Amino acid sequence: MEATIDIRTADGNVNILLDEVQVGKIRGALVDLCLSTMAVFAMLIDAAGRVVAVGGETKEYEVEALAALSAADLATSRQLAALLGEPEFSLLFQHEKQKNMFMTAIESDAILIVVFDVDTTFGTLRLRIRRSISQLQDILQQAKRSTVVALSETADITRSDVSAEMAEEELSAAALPAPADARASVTAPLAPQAVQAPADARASVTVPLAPQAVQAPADARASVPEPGATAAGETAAPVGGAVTEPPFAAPQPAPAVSVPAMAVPATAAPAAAGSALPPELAAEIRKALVWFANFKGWSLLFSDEVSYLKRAVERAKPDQVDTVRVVFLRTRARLTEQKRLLEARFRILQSVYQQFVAALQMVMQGAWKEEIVDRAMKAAFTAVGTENNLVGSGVAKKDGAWTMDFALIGKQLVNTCHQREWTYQMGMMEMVRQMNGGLTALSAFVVENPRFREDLTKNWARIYRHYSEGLKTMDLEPEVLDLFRPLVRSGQMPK
Amino acid sequence: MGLRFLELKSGDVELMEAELRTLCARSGAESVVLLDLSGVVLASHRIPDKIDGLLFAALLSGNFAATEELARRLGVVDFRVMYHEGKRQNLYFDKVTEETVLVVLFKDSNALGRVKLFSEKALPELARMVGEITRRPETTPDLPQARSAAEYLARLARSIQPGDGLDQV
Amino acid sequence: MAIHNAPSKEIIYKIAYHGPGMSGKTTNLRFIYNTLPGRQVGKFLVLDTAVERTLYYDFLPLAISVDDDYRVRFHLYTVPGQSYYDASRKLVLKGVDGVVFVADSHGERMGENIESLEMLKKDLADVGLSYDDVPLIIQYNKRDVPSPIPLAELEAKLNDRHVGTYEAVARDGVGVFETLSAMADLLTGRK
Repeated sequence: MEATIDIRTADGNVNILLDEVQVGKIRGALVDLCLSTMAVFAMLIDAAGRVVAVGGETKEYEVEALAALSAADLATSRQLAALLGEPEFSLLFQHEKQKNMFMTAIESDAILIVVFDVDTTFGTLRLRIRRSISQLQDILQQAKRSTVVALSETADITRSDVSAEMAEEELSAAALPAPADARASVTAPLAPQAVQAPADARASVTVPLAPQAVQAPADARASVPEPGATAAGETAAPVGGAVTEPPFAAPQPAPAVSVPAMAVPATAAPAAAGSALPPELAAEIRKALVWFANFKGWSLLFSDEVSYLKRAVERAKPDQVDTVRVVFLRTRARLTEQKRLLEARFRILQSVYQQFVAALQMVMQGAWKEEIVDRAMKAAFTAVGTENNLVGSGVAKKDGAWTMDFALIGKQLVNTCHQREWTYQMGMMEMVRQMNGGLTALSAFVVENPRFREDLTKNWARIYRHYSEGLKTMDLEPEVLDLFRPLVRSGQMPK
Repeated sequence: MGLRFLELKSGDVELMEAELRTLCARSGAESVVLLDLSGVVLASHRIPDKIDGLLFAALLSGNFAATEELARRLGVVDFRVMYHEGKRQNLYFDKVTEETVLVVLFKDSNALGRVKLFSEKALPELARMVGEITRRPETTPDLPQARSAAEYLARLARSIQPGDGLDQV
Repeated sequence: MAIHNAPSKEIIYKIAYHGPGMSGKTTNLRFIYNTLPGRQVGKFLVLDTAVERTLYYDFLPLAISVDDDYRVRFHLYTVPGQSYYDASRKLVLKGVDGVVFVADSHGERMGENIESLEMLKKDLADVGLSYDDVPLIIQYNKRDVPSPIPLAELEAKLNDRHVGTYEAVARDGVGVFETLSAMADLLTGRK
């Protein structure tokens, strides 16, 4: 036999973060596909079999089981292709009387699956699928470009104050349930690859600068999307401007959360010169734009919408007013959703970290208050990513014992994102990276120290139980759990 | 223990391969494989040398099994046929019995019709052959060679020191 | 179903390593792959996710040449342990001849061990096999963790069939070949 080699799936490069907006766009493309081909449903999954987004009718099916099987299908099909020297296979199974399925890989990271009834002939489907494929490719390529783990070594630390009021508003404790399809969006921000990116980070990582991808067109007419996206949720034609509108349901009612007040404007006489927007609507949009300017983390995420609204305020045409109103309301709704998600995430992380520290405290008992721990904590946390130290400010000694103040960490997060022009998702990833680094160093210290080693050996099972029980109650998705594995490993007894 | 065995006797494989050879010639395909879904090739015609046959079989069966299960969950009642289209080569799968599948590797995607047609023609005969082989009375064969292999592994187990050939995961 | 091809002098057995996620199934195969010489192992196929969780299966073909120019093949497979991949797990058990159940001795994993064993029974039934009849070996892996689950407890809760059991630290190769050898004995009727 020839030299033996491991054959692995070509999955090592998964490195796309998708935010709610992008997932929404993907969902829109899938719904569009179903509508135009009469497919039963269409879904996009990642190579690990997790569902990114679904469009169409899936009530009868266990979507996740289908996703897991599709990933299995793709993994083997890819290996077959490699074996035969082919780039990629696309799968079709057809059955005259029942359901048919089409499956293909997109951008090497995701899989598109379309299930259709016998009504659709494959020829028609092929054409429409090709269009959807390129739509999805665009979205994923764009997402790739804006995926970041940015750590410039020469950046300044700025500890300038962001007013407490704003920070408070950002991370207000609104205990609202996450949106129903949170699972789809959760393939997103805390993708472990991005967080654990080693020094030789992947080629696809780039630093985000100003709001991306918005071309400032020379021709003013082309800059505002054509009317067509209505509240009734008809399919919007792909537009030449920066905003591609997926089909939508009716705009959300005003959410009861502390988002800057954006009242639903009534129709009124045309307003300021150059813009046909009713004055109330224009005023609300302007308020929103000011708000976004103060919260860089959000304006980056909604950069397309922000640019669109800016232009609308300056030069919307009368026939575009309805569209603008819809976009405004949808943006507000999505912002609310994002904030909820972010808050929930933050709380989860907070809880997990606090569990871990509590566990270590339990082991060390009285020793937790000693000077030797002081040195370890300082070393572990205050040196972390000195230039963008997100966590250092929140780790402090109170009443003689070390604690983590997540309110402070949250504020620092907002500061840093503002300074570094990061979205809050990216800021949170960096926070996770720093926390993990600090806690790993701390665990190593505990393990190394002969005094604690004995206690640790005796109590490791207890620590682990405490910690892992905590993790279980969080209902974290597998890739987030994986983030915490190194933490546990770092505390394991060396041989 | 009474392990169930599929016994391939002399002549079995030749007959099956003859059928596969005919199919290949008529359809213009590159290669044809009769695959057992446990991951093993029962008979084949012209698997290209550069392809690792064991890996090929394990992948083909895993691929077919996953798709079959997908189809089942989507409500397809008698899933039988599957097709992978590539740039230069294509794979056509056609189920022969519950445990076996015919796999055809061919170059020109336009030949799909021909491949389908001649596969359909070969199916009944192949099914009959497989059926005959699997219907043989189940007596566990006496296989001293197998016991020798187990003997070898036992010796190996006794002699291996932890730390040999380690690869940290 | 095992295969005996007398004309080509081959005997083929299919062995599946089953057990909860991260219990060490892939680790077992990796050690075997790294230990045996190149003429006895084929390419090691790993189908996993980017964070190294088995997605569908691993496959490692062993081939041992014996007297009479016979080749005795053991085709080793692992199944995905994570419950997310339940739907694809049973597919790997099609036509399996023997199962090695790899249990995790880590203090907190008893629940997962039991759950996984239940899945094994169900998976086997789904592919037309019977848990009670299938040749089975249980490996108690990760015996090196601090405060592992006591053997007595593992035995009581997992070994209702009273089959052969082997302690292991697969990461270090301890017990890996003992387990494999025991399975080979069962399948070949050597013992």
